[in-house]
Amino acid sequence: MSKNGRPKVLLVKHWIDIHDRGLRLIASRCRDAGFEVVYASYSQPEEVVKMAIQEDVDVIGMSFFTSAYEAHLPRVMEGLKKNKLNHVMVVLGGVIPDEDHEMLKKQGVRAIFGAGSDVNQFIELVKTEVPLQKK
Amino acid sequence: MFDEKTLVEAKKLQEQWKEAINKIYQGKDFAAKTNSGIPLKPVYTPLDIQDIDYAKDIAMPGSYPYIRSNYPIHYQYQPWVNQPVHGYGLPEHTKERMDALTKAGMEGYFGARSYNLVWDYPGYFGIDPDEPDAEGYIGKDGVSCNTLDDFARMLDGLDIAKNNIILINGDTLPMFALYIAYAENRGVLRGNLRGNTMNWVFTAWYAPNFMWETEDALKLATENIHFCVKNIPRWNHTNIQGHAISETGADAIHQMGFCLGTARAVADSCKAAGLNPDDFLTGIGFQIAQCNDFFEYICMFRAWRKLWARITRERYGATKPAAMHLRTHTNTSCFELVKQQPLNNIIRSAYHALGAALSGTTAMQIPAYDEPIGIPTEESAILTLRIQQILVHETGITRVGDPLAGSYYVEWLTKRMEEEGEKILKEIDDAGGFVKAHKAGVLATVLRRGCDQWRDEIDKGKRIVVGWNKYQTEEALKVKAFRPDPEVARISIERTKEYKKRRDQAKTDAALNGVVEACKKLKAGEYGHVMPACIEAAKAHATAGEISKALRKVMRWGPEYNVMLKF
Repeated sequence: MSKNGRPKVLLVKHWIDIHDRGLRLIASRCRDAGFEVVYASYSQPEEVVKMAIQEDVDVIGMSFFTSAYEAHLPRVMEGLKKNKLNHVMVVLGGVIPDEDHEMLKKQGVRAIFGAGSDVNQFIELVKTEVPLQKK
Repeated sequence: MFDEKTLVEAKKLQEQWKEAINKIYQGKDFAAKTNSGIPLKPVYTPLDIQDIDYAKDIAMPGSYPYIRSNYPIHYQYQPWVNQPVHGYGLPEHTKERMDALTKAGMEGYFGARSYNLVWDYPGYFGIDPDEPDAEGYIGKDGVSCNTLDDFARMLDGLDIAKNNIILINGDTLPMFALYIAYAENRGVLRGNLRGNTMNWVFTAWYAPNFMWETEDALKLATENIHFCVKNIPRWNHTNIQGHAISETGADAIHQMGFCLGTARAVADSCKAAGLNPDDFLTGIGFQIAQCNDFFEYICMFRAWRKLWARITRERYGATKPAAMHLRTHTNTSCFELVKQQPLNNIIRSAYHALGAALSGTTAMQIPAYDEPIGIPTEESAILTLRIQQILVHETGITRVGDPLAGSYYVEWLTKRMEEEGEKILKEIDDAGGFVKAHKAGVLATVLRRGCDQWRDEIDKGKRIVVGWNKYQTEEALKVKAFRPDPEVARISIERTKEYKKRRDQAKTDAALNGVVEACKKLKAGEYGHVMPACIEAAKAHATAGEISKALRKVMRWGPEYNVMLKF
């Protein structure tokens, strides 16, 4: 939770992933819900962890148009663990086949919001769970 | 359009109609709006188009202002070109898809086919597979192809002097140079090549957030055009990407207005570089998204042809009809295809394609119904071709040119779209021109707003999407995502490393240095050096990524990827 009591959300995608319509929508909906939002692109997954530390965020939302999460997510999860940021909620969005959801949740992904998801569900999830996070 | 008697009668009949609806529906208001927000009446009459001058505003197909078609006879002679986008995995995987589409009857003009090849993200941005930034993206949403050998794996055996090869990637020059080098190594003269490069200097910016910096991008694009005009006059060098603008949030009028604004900026630059408009305009095309709101997009298309004809003739002094023609490649809507009940997407795309066909498009790509789930399978890719084939061979719509012309509604809305397009061009001029307006974020703001508004309307139930916010079902998704061979990345990386090992490094380095030196000349406004230098580098076995990086030593690449926005 940021200093002013608002949940703080880091929204990222890899810089070469040009499909940003969904992530931008989430950004404006988070802002409308009163969250603090940091929107950024990364080159190496470790940068996501670095940004999460630097910005002291409660939630990381990663967007993928292709299955690059197979390569990137383990590196982000490991970085979070190494830096004792287990409390940070990680959610994914984009084009993510249903059959991959279980594998991703096993790695620690809290929820997956693919095409056509209800944005409010994400907002509610953050509102409910972020205040309970123990740092 | 009408004589006095007809108008008097029309007025009388309209009054009677008004009385009738007041009586039957108790004065209920039936006014609506197009998806772009243009107010609509429930019905149109001769009164709405009485100011249109048939000879001046509409005329015959194939004559100025080309509102009806570029050609006097169009689909009756040659239907539109099937141009399905394809590319995934290794070059040989893409070749399999090319062959499958060929076998399925993909056709172009006069027996030639158009292979609309899309690169993966690394290829799109000039990153080789062996670079760290490529990890996770190799061969996923496009082909991994960055060397002469890769082009050979994909295109050997194909008659490239007859068929069109379309290179869909972001950093145009290096990949084009590789293709030309490959062709010449095969003994095909560059002047005999046919196809398209994207050269989409501006449009790439509002979709993602990364590309060549504004002024340098324009110089690189102009360099490509300069090269084509002098060396490959038939090549379609520039594709103004309306589809990307649409997918990023533009409605019909903004798609058209922003594209025309982009095209003017490119053409201004070409003219300033001393090129003859009759020569360079013939290579500029528009990739147009055909979306929901059936009639609005048809009218947009007709108005777009007219506006472009006027711009090319009046602003640039074009004299050849071909230089006034709006060359179009339709890419039917993707953002309106949804994951829920995905088979419905085939129906949606068929309507979009019908709209494009009734608009008189010259080429067509239809997204596969499973794209909200993953990369198209061979089966779903071929289905998109079947939509086009059914339209051509079964519906009878190719028998008569511009069949909707003369409809009171269509002609009225076409005129309105023309006015709206002019309004947007004026807004761009008022903002100091396209480059300035773009840099100030004027265009991006419109797109973001469009995107948010579209989604708001769906979430609030004001816009119905079948299966998503109405008529939902609880059924689990039966469609499985297609996955390219997991070995692709490893093989692609190994091949790149091998390629670099096998070459005469000193020769490659010298050629890459030649690219850097040529860029310095381009930076100073001197055209005609960079493309030849890129081709030399490609022939000296530089990879696409290496040539891209040589360009970046001089030309500004940006804004930086790690720009952080906070709000």
